[in-house]
Amino acid sequence: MNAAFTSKCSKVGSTLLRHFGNNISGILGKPCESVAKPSCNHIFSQQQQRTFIQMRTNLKVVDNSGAKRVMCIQALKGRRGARLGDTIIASVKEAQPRGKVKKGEVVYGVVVRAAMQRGRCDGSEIKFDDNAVVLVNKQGEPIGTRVFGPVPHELRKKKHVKILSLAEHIA
Amino acid sequence: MVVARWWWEEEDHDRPLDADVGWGSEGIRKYFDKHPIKNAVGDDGVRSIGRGVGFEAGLRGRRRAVTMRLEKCWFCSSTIYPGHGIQFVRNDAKIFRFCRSKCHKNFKMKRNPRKVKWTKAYRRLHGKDMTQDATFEFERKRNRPERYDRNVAENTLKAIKKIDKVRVAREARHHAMRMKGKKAIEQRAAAKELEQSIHMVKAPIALQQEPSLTLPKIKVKVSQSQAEGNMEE
Repeated sequence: MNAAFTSKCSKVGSTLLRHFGNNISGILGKPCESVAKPSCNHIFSQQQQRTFIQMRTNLKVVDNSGAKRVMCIQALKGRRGARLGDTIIASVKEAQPRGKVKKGEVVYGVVVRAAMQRGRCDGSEIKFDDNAVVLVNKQGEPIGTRVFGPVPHELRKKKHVKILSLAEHIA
Repeated sequence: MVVARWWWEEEDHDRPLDADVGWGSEGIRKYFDKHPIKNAVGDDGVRSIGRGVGFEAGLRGRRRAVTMRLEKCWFCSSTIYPGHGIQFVRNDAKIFRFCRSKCHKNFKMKRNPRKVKWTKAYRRLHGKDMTQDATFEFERKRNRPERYDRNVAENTLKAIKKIDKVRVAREARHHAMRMKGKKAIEQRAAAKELEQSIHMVKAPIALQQEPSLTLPKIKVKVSQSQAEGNMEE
């Protein structure tokens, strides 16, 4: 596992390799899906500084639309980028062979998990392990028929009830 | 079995600590045989909603979420009041709640709460705090919002005070028991030190009589005339 992990990491870059030892057990985020900004906090070098989902952020697709990985090309809201629950425009970078979505397509997606923390309505904060997205069409209806992993209940406020009802866990 | 319903968090069974503690329901049963709480709600099977009260309320559109839920910090086990702290959701949907950034940072540093001295987990593990007591059994997480009943509410509020008093008294007793032999041990240690190092101490009279025991006085010239500083070492 160690060797495979190293080879995976070597593509990502030397910045992430510094975090290699800390990330190995995989509890706190996989480095391949982490947010693109590499400025690391040297006091707590375990984790990167998490930032917004901005142009060129790679996100995992957690539905069965056929796409595996997308890259954000535009955040539809927010000056600095998208956060948990926001909608983005993305380009499909990796896709499964016979899915509804092909590689290279431009799709809409809802950010259902974000590593950057987001304030909740009561003032506390929530953050997730990775950056994940569920692909939707322009009307906001999900393309796939399943949603994997936990999603936040804030999606209800964003009128994505369908995603919530498909989700396995709601956090 | 009759249990006063309350909304406090039940102990999280995923935590390594709680496996060792081993809460038994035997004690509480005995306690309640002696001190029954009347008009409390019977403990029937709790139907798990599993999605939180706010979600449920929003789903039906019937009532707003009014329940205040007090969670426990994953790291230090202190109570998290609404609006405080941060929660981290792992990809397997396990939720880690932290009361403050101190606990969150310690978690990010992958510290084990059982090895960090200021956490409740450490104190419990090392016998510093009372662990097994019937009074702890009242703090439970219940996923069903309770229908308001004036009698039940009144009795619960009464019971809380009573239980709190009992718990504080028992904790004090536990502390007293834990500290019982401390004074004797300290005294013994002091006596031993006195015995072993008494030769380092000389009586003041002996010091006066025998000048070799003290350091010799050195006369130092001081330039200022007003004070003839007797500089002693």
